Amino acid sequence: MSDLWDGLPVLAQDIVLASVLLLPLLVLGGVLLRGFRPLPLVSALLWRFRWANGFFALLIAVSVGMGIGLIAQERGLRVGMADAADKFDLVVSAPGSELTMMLAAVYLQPSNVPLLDGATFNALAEHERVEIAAPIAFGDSYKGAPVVGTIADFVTHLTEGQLEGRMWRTSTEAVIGAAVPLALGDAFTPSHGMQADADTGAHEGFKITVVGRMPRTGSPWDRALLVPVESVWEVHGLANGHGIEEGDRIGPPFRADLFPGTPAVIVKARSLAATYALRSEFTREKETMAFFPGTVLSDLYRVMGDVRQAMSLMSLVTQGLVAASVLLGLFILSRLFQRQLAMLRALGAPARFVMAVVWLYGVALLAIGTGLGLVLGFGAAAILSELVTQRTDILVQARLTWQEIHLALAFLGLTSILSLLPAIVVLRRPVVDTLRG
Amino acid sequence: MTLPLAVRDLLVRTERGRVLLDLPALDVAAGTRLGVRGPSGAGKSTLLFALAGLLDGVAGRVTWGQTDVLRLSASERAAFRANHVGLIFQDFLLFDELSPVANAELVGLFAPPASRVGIAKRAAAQLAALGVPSDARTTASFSGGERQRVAVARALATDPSVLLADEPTASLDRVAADRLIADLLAQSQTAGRTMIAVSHDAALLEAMDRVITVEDGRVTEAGA
Repeated sequence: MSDLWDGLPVLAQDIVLASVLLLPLLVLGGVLLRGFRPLPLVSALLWRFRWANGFFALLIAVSVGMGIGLIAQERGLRVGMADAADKFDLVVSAPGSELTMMLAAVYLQPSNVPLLDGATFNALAEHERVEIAAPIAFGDSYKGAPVVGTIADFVTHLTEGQLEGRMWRTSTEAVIGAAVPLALGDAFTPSHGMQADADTGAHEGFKITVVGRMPRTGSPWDRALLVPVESVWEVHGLANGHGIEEGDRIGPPFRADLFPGTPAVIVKARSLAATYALRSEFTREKETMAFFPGTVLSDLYRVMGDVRQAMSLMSLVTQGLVAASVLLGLFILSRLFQRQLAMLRALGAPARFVMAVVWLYGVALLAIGTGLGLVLGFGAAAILSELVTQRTDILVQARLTWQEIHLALAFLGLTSILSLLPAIVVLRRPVVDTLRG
Repeated sequence: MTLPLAVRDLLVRTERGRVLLDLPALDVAAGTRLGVRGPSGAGKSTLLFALAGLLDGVAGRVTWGQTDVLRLSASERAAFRANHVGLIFQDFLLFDELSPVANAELVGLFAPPASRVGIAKRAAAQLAALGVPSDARTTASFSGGERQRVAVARALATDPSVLLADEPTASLDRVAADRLIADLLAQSQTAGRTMIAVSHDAALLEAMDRVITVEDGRVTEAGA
């Protein structure tokens, strides 16, 4: 059985699971509605108590939407963060917090961290297992966007060679991210510092011309202005890693004694095995720290996973409470039209028909609310994703997946069973007493 | 088809044992129009509901033709009412969100598929005969008289053998009540069906073939 299930395509598994979750509703509907046409009466009742019904449907929608929005948002953020870190196989830095360093190097949220020296950088850059060793230098910005110093090979790696315009050739040229509001040929002067603390006049007279634009990467690098690392060093009055005899040459190799330091080196190894070997080799107590951003993310997801589970549980509890409220509401509403139901029984309607009317009325509210909840949840997740994207530049996309549909169907399936309760209670009321009001 | 009624030793009590209705015997010939009168709370409606098989825990026999409804199970009694009994209520109990046609065809929603077409045809014919504007979208704007005529069409849509009416004119003004009485008499006369109407309305009672009086749960007077 397990083999048969595993052998099914994922889509087929999702459809089967959705059908199973919906089974209680389908079975109850089949049993109760067979041979009857309660829809006109249910429509009449829905219309008669439209404001109360609308309120209940909205209550259900908010409850379902909360659960769905939470899951969709969390998954979107997780996928977005993973995608943004995709090009960062290995990060080597001075020892410290891997998370802090990952936020700085991968997500461009810099903080004050110790620097690696030239000897360490060269040891990496010249290592036989290393394909690219890119120093990262930050601290400047332009209109709130980070100015990041690095090397051309890393830009090529980030963009997979897809560059509008061309790569820089001098330390006064830049390649910008897809979301930077500058055009090719525009010039800018970096400010010293980031955000509100930035000093716009610190680098007065230092002009950098935009010569290339990266395609969209869905990462904070879309908003970054990338310049040769020498540019960052020079503008701060530091050595630029090269001797006078090298003239205006930019890019590696760098002279260790003229290397001002870098907070992190992004490493692309020649193979997966080489990546692991390098991590092991450059994890040296008190000297260097090497880590996989993916592993740090996994640890982060594990923590987030616990939070997610707690929030999912809260969401389920909320949905349970809402379902209970809705049932209570159904009891109350069914009392409002109990004389009509008693009249049906007096006219000879079978008990199953009366149950079908009350049950279908409740299920209609639940189905409308659940459907609306899917839309609300997805809408809320989409808005939140957009806000997160705007604030972090990590492309977070909310997608409606089978997971959300399964959650909604589970809610609908369970509450469709509970909707039998008001129907049963209605049948237990004496017809004549109810007719007399 | 029309059915005679034979009631024997009918005893209806409250849960605490108070006697609501004590009727040793009542015979109503098929096709008879019987009026039931009496003060409020005397047990008139209780009698009507007992005859319709709507009360539980009732002793005695209520035999329509060959069927003692008190011996039937709840579902059998419901089926008997659906097939043989038309009911009219004082306050109509319509679904005002539905059209007059949909209200008159109401029984068709739970009737066997084979009988639905017949119910729909009879409902339309009754509405036409009663002069109800059947093209109205809903009955919400109808007058009391129009609503009660829709309720009559609903009761007659199944071509019942028996018509039971509980204060059918009580919610109507005199003009509407007189028109309804005329309609009810015409309908029952044409079909020759047994009709039992509980009412305070002297005009309605005068139009009946026979009138009984219920007082303190007992039939204290009967007359033709």
